[in-house]
Amino acid sequence: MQTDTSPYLLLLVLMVGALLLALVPIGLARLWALTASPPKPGAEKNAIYECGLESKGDAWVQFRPQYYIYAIIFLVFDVETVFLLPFAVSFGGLSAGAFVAIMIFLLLLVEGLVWAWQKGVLSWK
Amino acid sequence: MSVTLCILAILILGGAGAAMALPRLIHCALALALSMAGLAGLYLQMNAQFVGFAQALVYIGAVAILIVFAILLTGGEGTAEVGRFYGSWRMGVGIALGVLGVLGLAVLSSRALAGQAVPVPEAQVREIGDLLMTDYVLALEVIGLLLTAALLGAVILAMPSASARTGSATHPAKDQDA
Amino acid sequence: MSSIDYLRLLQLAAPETFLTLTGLMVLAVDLIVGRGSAPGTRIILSGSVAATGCLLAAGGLFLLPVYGTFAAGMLVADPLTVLIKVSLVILTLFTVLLAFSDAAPLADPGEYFALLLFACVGMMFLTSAEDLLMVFLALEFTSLSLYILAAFNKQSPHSTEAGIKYFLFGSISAAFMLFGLSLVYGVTGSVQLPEVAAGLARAGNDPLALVALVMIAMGFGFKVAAVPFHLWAPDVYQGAPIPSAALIASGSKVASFFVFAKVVVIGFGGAPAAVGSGAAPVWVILLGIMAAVSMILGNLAALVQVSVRRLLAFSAIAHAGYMLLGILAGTEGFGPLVYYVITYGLATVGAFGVVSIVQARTGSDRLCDFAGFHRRFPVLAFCMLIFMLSLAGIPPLAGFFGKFYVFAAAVKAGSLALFILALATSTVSLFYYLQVLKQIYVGETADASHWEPVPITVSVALLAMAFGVTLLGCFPDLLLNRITIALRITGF
Repeated sequence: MQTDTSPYLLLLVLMVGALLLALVPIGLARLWALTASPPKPGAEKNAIYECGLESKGDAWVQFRPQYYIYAIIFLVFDVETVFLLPFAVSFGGLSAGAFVAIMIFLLLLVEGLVWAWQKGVLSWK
Repeated sequence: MSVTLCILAILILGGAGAAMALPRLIHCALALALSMAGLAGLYLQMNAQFVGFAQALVYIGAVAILIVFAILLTGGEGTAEVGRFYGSWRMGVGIALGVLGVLGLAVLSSRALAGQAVPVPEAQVREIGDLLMTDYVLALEVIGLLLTAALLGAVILAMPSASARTGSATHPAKDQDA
Repeated sequence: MSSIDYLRLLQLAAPETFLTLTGLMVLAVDLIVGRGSAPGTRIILSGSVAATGCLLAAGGLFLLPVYGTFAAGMLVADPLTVLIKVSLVILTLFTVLLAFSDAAPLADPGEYFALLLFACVGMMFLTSAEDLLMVFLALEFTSLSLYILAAFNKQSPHSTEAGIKYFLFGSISAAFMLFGLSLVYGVTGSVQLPEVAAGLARAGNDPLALVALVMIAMGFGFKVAAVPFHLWAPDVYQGAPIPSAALIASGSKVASFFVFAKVVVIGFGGAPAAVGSGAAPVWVILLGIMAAVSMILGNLAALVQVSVRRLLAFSAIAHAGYMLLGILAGTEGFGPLVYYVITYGLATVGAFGVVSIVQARTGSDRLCDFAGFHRRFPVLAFCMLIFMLSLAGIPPLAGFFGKFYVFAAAVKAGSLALFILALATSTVSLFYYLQVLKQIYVGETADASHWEPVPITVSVALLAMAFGVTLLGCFPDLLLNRITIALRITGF
C-alpha cells in the first residue's frame, strides 16, 4: 500500500462493498419487477394473502421497558470499554497505583450492575 | 484532503438536517446516526483515531440504538400532528445564522488561531492511556462515578414503578412477541 | 511519564471517597436490610446511614483537613475549598434530614439518598477543581445527579416536568459551556486555570476569547439561575421533590458560584481588558447586565407568586443577581460572596423545610395554605421568620451581613449604579417575604390543629439551621474570619 493513501481507504472500500452487497440485490429485484411485472394494484390484489386474517389495530406495540434498561446498561458499559482500551494499551508501563485506580473505576460500575441485578430490573418477567 | 472534508461535512450536516426535518421519528434517529458516523469520520480524518473509534463505538453503536429503543418504548412512531415547524421558526433560523456569523467572524479575526500552523498532535492511544492513568486519574474516577450515577438514575426512572408493575400484571406480556 | 502519588490523591480526596462509599453503603443497606420493609422504615434506615456519613465527613473535614494539590489543579485542597466543602456537606446533611419528612413519598429511598450524596460529592470535586476539564466533568456529574433527583417522584407529573425541563436546559447550556471551554483551550493551549489566565492575557482582546467567555457565562448562568438562563428555575423549584429542590437551590448554588467566581476572577480577571481605552472589560459589562436583569426580574416576578416554592425560585434568581455583584467586585468580592452564598444556602434549605411541612399536611404550597402555621407549630413558625428575614436581609441575621459585605465590595469596586439597584430591589423583596410571614402569623384559617406532628429529625434540622443563621448573623466573624484567613493563605 502506498504511504500517502489514507489508512482508512480500505475501511471505506469495505463499507462501500457492504452497502453495495445489500443494495444491489434490492435494486436488481426492483428492476426485475419493473420490467417483468408492471404494477397494477387492486383491492383483490392487495388483500391479505388467501387464508390470512385482516389485521386489527396498529402494528406498533409498546416495547417493554426492559429493552430500554438493558440498552442503558449496555451504553454505560460501552463507555467503560472506551476507557479500558487506553489503559490496556499503556498497561506495560503503569504502576500498581494505576492498576488499583482502574480497578476502582471498574468496581464502581460493577457495583452498579450488581445493584441493578439485586433490584430485580434485569429479570425478564 | 478537502474532498474528504466536503463529503464528511455533507454527511454530518445533511444527517443533522434530516434528523430535524424528516417526518417520521425513527427516520430522524437513523439520520442522526448517519450524522454521528460522519463525525467519527471527521475525527479519523484529523488523525484522532482514539476519539474517532470511540465515537463510532459509543454513538453509532450504543446511543443510536438507545434512541431507537426509546422511540419504540414510547410508541412515538406516527407523524406529528403539529407542523414540523412552529410559528417562530423564522426567528430561530435568524438567531442561528446570527450566532454562526458571530462565531465565524470571531474565528476568522482571531489572532490566537491565525498565522501559526499548529502541528497536528498525534495522540496515540498509549499516550492517552498514560495520561489517563496518571495526571487525569481523578477525572477517570469522576467519569466512573458519573456513569454509576447515570446507570442508577436511568434505571430508576425507566423502571416501571411498583404500583404500575402490579397494575400491569393483570394483562401481561401479550404484546411481547415483538 | 510523570510518577503520581496515588496515596496522596486518596488522602486529598478522602472526604469525597468517604461520601461515595457511604452512598454505596446506603444502596446496599436499603437493598439488603430494607428489603420487604415498609417505605417509612426504609427511609429512616437509609436516611440515617446517609446522615451519619455526612456528619462524619463534615467532622473529618473540619477537624482533620488535609491540604495539598494533585496534578496541577485536578484537585486543590486548601483552607478555602475545605471550608466550602464543609458547608456543602452540612447543607447536604440538612437536605437528607428534610427527606425524612413525608412530603413526597419516595419509592426508592436508598437510591434517593445515594444520589443526594453523589450530588454532594460532585459539588465537592467541583469546588476543588482548578482544571477546566475537571470543572466540566464535576459539573456534569453534579448536574446529572440533580436531574435524576428532580425527576425522582414518578407519581407526580410535576416532578417529571421539572426533571425534563432541568435536563433539557442543563444539557444545552452544558453544550455551550463545553464549546466555550474548548475555545479557551484553543486560544490558550491549556486547561489549567493559571495557565489559562496567562494565555488569555497574552491573547489580549481576542474576539474568540470573548465568545468563549460568553459561552462559559451561559453555562454557569444556567447553573446559578441568573436571568437570561433562569427559565427552568421556577418549575424545578416547584415540581421537584422538596429535598431535591432544596439541594438544587443551596448546595448546587454554593459550588457553582464558587467555581464561577474562580474561573472568572482567576481565568478572565486580567484578560480581555481593552488595552489603553480604560473601558470596563467585556466580562464586567456582561455580568453587570446579567446581575441587573436578575435583580429586577427576580424580585418583581416574586411579588405576584401564589406558590411559595415559585416565590422562593424567583427570590433565588434575585439573589443570584446580588451574588453576581460579588463576582463583579473581583478579588475584593470573593470573601463576601462565599459568606453570602453559604448563609443564603442555609436559609433556603430551611425555608424549603418549612414548605415541605406545610405541603405534606395541606397538599399544596400556596400562600394561603400557610395560614394557621403559627398556631400549630409556633417554634417552627419562628424558624421560618428567621429564614425569611435573613433572605430579606434584616440586620441581626446572616442574610444582612452577606448582602452588606457584597454590596460594600461592589461599591469599592466602583459599580455604584448596580449597588443602588440592588439596594432598591432588596427593599422590594422585603414585601414578598413579609407576605409569607403575614400568612403564617395572622392568616385566617379554618383549622390547622389536626395537622400531624412534624418528624423529629425535620424539626431538629430546622432548629439547627435557624440557629446557624442567627449565630452567623450575630457573629459574622465566626465564618468571615475563616474565609478571610483562608483567602489570605490561598493568595487571593
